[in-house]
Formats: sequence, C-alpha cells, structure tokens
Amino acid sequence: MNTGLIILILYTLSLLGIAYYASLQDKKNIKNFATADSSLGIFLLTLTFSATYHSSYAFLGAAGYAYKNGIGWWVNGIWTVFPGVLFWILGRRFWFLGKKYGYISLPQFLNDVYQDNRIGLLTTVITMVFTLPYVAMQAIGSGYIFDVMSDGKLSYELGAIIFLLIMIVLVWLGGMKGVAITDAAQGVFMWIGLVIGSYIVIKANFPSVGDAYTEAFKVIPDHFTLPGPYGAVTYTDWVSRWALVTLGMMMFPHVTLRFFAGRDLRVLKWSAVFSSIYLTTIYVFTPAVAFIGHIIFPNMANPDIIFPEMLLKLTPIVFASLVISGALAASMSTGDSQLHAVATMISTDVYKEI
Amino acid sequence: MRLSKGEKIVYALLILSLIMINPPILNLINNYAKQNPLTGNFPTLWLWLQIWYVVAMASFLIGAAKIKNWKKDYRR
Repeated sequence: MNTGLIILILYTLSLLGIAYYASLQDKKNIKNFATADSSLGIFLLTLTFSATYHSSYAFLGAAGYAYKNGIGWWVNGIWTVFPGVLFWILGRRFWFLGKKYGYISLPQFLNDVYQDNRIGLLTTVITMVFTLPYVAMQAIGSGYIFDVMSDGKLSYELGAIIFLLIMIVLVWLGGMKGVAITDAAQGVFMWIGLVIGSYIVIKANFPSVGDAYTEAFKVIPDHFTLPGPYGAVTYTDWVSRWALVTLGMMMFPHVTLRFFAGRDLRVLKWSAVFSSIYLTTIYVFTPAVAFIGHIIFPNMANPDIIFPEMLLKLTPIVFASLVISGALAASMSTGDSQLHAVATMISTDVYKEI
Repeated sequence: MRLSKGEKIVYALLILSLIMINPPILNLINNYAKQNPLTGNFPTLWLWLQIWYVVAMASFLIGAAKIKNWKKDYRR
C-alpha cells in the first residue's frame, strides 16, 4: 500500500472519529442538528465559516487561475477580506432574529416577513438547485485528489463516491456540531497545508520568494499586470467577479446557517474578523507558486493541478501527501457543510412546512 | 442609529480600501505597474492590493476591539 493511500485512510478515519465524538453530545432535535443550539465559540465558528466558504478551489482552482491569467487572480483578496465585514453586518442581525423568533434558516425568516410560506419554499428550492452542483464540484475535486494520492489505485469515480459516502456519514452522525468540529480540524490542516506547503515548494527552488518573482518575471512578464496574458482579467471582469462572489456568498445556505450557530454576538464579531484574516493569509504564497510553476512546468494542459503536481515532484512523498490531505480537507469541509445545509432545508423548510 | 466617531473612521477606511483596489484607481496603478512591474522583488500590483487588504483587515480588527456600539448585545 502506498504512503499517500495510508495517509488518506488515516485522515478519513480521524474525521469519522471526530464526527462520532460529536454524535455522543447530540441532543437529537432539529435545532441541535441545524445550528448546534447556537453553541459554537469563536474558534469553531471562525474555522467552520472559513473552511466552508473556501473549498477545493483553495488548492486547485486558485493557483491554476493565477498560472493561467496572472496577478489579476488576486481580486480574490476582496472576497476573502470583505465577506467577514458582511458576516458581521448581516450575520449579527440574523443571529438576533434567530434568538428572538427561533429561526434556524433564511426561508423561515422570509416566510414571516412576507406572511406566505410559498416564498420560503421557493427560496429553498432555488438555493437547493444551486447548492447541489456546488456539492458535485467538491466531489470532482476530491475524486481527483483520491486518484492522485493513491497513485491511481482509487479511480477518480470511486474517489468521488467515497467522498459522498463520507460526507453523508459525517452529517448524519454529527449534525452542525460534528460538521463544525471536523471543519475546524480541516481548517487548521488547510491553512498549514497551503501556507507551509507553498513556502516549502518555493524554497525548494529559489533562495527567497522575491527571487522566485524576479525569475518568473523574466519568463512571464504579462502575468504581472492586468489584463494578463490572455486578456481575461479586464476591469469589468474584476468588478463583476468580486461583487458576485462577495455578495452572492451570503446567499449560500451553508453560509447563512452559520449565522445562527454562534453562542453570542461577541463570538459572531470575532469570528467575522478572524475569518477575514484566516482566508486572506492562506493565499499569501499562491501567486508565487503559480508563477514559478511556469518555470518548472511550462505549458501544463490542466493548470488547476499545478500545486499538487509541484508538491509531488518537488517535496518528499510523506510531506506532499500530508499537504494534499489539506486539499481534501478543503473539499470535504465545504461538501459536508453543503450537504448539512440541504438536509436542514429539506427537514425544516420542506418536510415541516408540507 | 447615530454612528460614533470611531465607527465613522472604520467604515471610511473600509470604503477607502475598496475604492483603492477598484477602477479607476486600479487602472492608474496597473499603468504604473506596467512601467515598474517589480517593487522590492515583488509584483507591484500584488503589493498595492496587499497593502489595502491589510488596511481593511486592520481597521476591521481595531473596530471590533474598540467600537462600543459593536459590543452591545441586542435586547431580547
């Protein structure tokens, strides 16, 4: 059995163990399942919000986009800094209404505002329709990671199926508390994997990050300004992308559910601040990794895999496997939260209403 | 609701950060970066964005610690 596969199995077993531990504290009611009875502290809420919001994109799509389109990728920073602010502005109001009227989902709030249950049902259907493809995206990312880490012993399709089964067990066992605890563990793993992993990849090839950029500039000068080598990052693209992601993410059911899960307003406030810092710092070395990828692996057919490819080729296999587990963490922490949100919506906003 | 002075400063800094990293300021910085792509061995445009992201995060952090209105709980 190869090292990657052993790490993968150990990682998955630890997650299931955490979810089982959370299930022992489960009070077996819908409010506990949906919002953990509003009991999450700063550490858990910060990491479950952050790890839920940023998915396999953090490991695969981000460096891939910068590899292809250059520094314009860092519009991404707007949608890591400012959602924290929106979390505080909107989240605290939802939290308060949840406390006062017992809401555990956005459709319940809309039902009351418009005095018509069909509005909530319509919102549920729309958000579910647009959440399910997002779950599928996490399965695709995980399928690939399973395939790479097991050295092809677990196919991409089997990896995606295993991912979905693990997600179902995590959500079924632990509800919001279980998902939040596993998200926190995965969030720590994700941060270490991305930041330390990226730094080691850079240091394996260049004396410093600055040297990496200087060398990259000789090869790909167009990557250092807008609109990038293919003209993709225009000013219109810039504004529309951050506006869509920053504001749109507030409509994700797996994000709004977390507004109701904080213990008090102090928890919500600091979770909002720390999530901004967490999400922005995880990408600190991403453009450097993407740019030196051009020097080491020019003309990659699929730039999305540049970071795992560099890890596997340039660092020891155990280290690479551990960091790529961080990529799996990114996929799983989003996937389980999405399935949990869909399960909550079906229970509270469809089944209960009908 | 009346905003305190501290709140006004924090919101102003957050809005200023957003203005500095978007067109038309972004166009000016991008044109400058075309002439000077690297500043201290780092991409000029990346540095500019990074500075304003740090300003936004720092003002949010200070606001969370200092603004009294943000410490108030809602009455149940």
